[in-house]
Amino acid sequence: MTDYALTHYEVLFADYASQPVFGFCQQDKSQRLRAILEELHRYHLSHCPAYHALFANMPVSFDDEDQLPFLAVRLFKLMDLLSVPKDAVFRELRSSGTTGQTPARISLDRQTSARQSRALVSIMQSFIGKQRLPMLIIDSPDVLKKPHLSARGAGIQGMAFFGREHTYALNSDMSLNVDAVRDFANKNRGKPVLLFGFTFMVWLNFVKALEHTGDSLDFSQGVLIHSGGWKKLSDQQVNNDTFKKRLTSVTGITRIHNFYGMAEQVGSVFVECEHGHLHAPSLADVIVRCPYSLVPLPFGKTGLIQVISAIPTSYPGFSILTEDMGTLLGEDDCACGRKGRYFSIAGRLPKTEMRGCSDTAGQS
Amino acid sequence: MTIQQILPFESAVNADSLPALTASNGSAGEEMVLAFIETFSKALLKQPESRALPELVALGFWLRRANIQQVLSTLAVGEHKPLGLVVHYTPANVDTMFVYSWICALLMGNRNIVRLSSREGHTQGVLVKVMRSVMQLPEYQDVAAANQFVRFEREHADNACISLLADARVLWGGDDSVSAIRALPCKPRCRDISFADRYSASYIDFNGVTDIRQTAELFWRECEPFEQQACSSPRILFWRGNSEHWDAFTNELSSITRNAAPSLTRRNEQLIYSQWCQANGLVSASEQAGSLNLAHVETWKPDLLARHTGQYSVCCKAVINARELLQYDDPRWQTLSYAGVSKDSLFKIFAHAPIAGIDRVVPLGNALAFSSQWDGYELLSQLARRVVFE
Repeated sequence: MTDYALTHYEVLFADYASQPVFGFCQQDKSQRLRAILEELHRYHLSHCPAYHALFANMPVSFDDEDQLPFLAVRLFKLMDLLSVPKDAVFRELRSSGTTGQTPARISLDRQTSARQSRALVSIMQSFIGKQRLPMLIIDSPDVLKKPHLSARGAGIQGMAFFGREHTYALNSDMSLNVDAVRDFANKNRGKPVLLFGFTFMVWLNFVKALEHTGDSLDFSQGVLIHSGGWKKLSDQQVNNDTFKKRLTSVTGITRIHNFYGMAEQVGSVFVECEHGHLHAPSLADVIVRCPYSLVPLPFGKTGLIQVISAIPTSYPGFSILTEDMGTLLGEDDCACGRKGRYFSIAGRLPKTEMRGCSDTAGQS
Repeated sequence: MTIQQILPFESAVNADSLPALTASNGSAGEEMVLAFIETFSKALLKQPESRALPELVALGFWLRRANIQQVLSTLAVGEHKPLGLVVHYTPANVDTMFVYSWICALLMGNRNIVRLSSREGHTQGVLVKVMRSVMQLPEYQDVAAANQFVRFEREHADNACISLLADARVLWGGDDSVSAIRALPCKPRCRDISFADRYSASYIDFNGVTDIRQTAELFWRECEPFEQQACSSPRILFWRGNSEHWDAFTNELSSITRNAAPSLTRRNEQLIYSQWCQANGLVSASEQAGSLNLAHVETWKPDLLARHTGQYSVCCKAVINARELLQYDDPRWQTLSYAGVSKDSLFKIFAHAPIAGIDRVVPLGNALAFSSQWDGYELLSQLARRVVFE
């Protein structure tokens, strides 16, 4: 089976991707998504030897999304996983990875990358509108200058598409570029603007820095999109509520949306709605699994998050078991009106304790 | 710059004023040391917190006077003299191992400086508390003077100074860390006893096993402690038998391993390991038996262990007979524990084979039982000088 699967997949994908991004109730969504995922499963079986070695014994069709095989997310750090010839890879994405850790390497071909952009556009536009807004990027422009595009850099590049007149709010040393921010605020006073940054930097280098200088800005017509994990903030006892309140008080901004996403599945992001819930868009879904048995858990139970995306063909990452913990909160009935599943994130799986003679006195 | 002394009492000290540097050597097997070890053993076994920590019970048991005398009985009387100062670098988390090698050095009359890992686990905490109570007894002040347990960072300037004073160094750790310590300057005649990265395997011949339940229990007894991360914990199971044997064995394992302490991360780590093995073509399939993940190996390669982090993952390889194990010889292979086969038959296979690995061949269930012969070293004689009388 070579490219029948891919062609069929492309047809299904194109049709489905043109539909409203939060418009399907879960039952319809699961059914349509499952047909696409089955094609992806077959495609990766025949195009990725590692995927084949893992899942050749699995069935090729499924009754339910939760029967799909899933890859442990850390495999992308341990080995190269790709489903296209090496020369078709036009960009290798690297996860940020904590210092000292090997970053994940995600191989993108043009088609996968194009699908990612398209998906991201329809998701983000449903939150910030179709018009490109003046954009303040809460980061340093230096992050785009590294030879390998980091996930941080890729995130900024991806989001920059939604704005114009890009202004970077931070200097190279991550201090607040007060003049640039003030100019941007004055120029766009009372107008809709887009702000984007990584959660921790928005907090530390923007909110706290503004509080420190006593500056107060008027972004009351703005929308802030942010992402990147809460660990450093929860270490400082800062939760989403505090984050939003303090941000509002220094900038007047009230439309604040966190999103959950990862380098391993760029494009299918889970954005926080007006009611504080993360929503699965049409091309993606979420399953929560028991960390002890890996069986799927019902609503309200916290476990490991499995993310599913209809997008990737260049690497076998359409179904991934993450190391994030979270809880499915419900489906189709969020007060914001978006259909499908919604959930919350409860943090990372704790680091595994290394014991044993092979863990060394020297490194302790 | 000071370092932190933990035992015999807590204080900040200068490395060059540690009493062990100037105390006098003892003599091999002296009564005061035997009495000290006996008191230590009793205190450890009496400590209520030890009961929940099988590794402390095992240590206390090994330290009994009867056992220590048995261990010493192999030495020629009067011919062994202490080396002088032995510096021990202990592993981060197998909290009891360093006590065994320290006791061996102590028994031979050496003075000791033991560098404890800075990651103080619960077991180490209990151990230190018990040791402190015994070392502070007035009758053991000579032991306290000649033995100090300290903590300092690897980068500490005194790390090199202490190494330079050692007559022998006992190094526990991973390859990189052992090599890093060995690169520190030392005396020309300093002896190094290095316990670096090793792995272990079990061999079960189900044709010779009468009680499968008991065999499964013994196997689990070796896997369970330290989340299977000790160098003597079996990571590989070579087995001989048919599929009925295997099914019966895994059924027993499933029920026995339910008592494993729950771990939020273990199942995910097992998934990562088994998927990595399988995606690299090293393993054909894996199955879950209670808390254990059993990965079925088609072709054995040491690469399989490159990503093994314990966590109750076992690579299982069916073999035709025990002789096949010779094909898998590897210098990093430390312990072979066996069941369903006799020691004599294994002796016949291994005694005359030019093997580079396997330092211990022990009945199943005993892989983690420390002996003064460890990692191919005879610890007592290595930690002493032998005088030849002709």
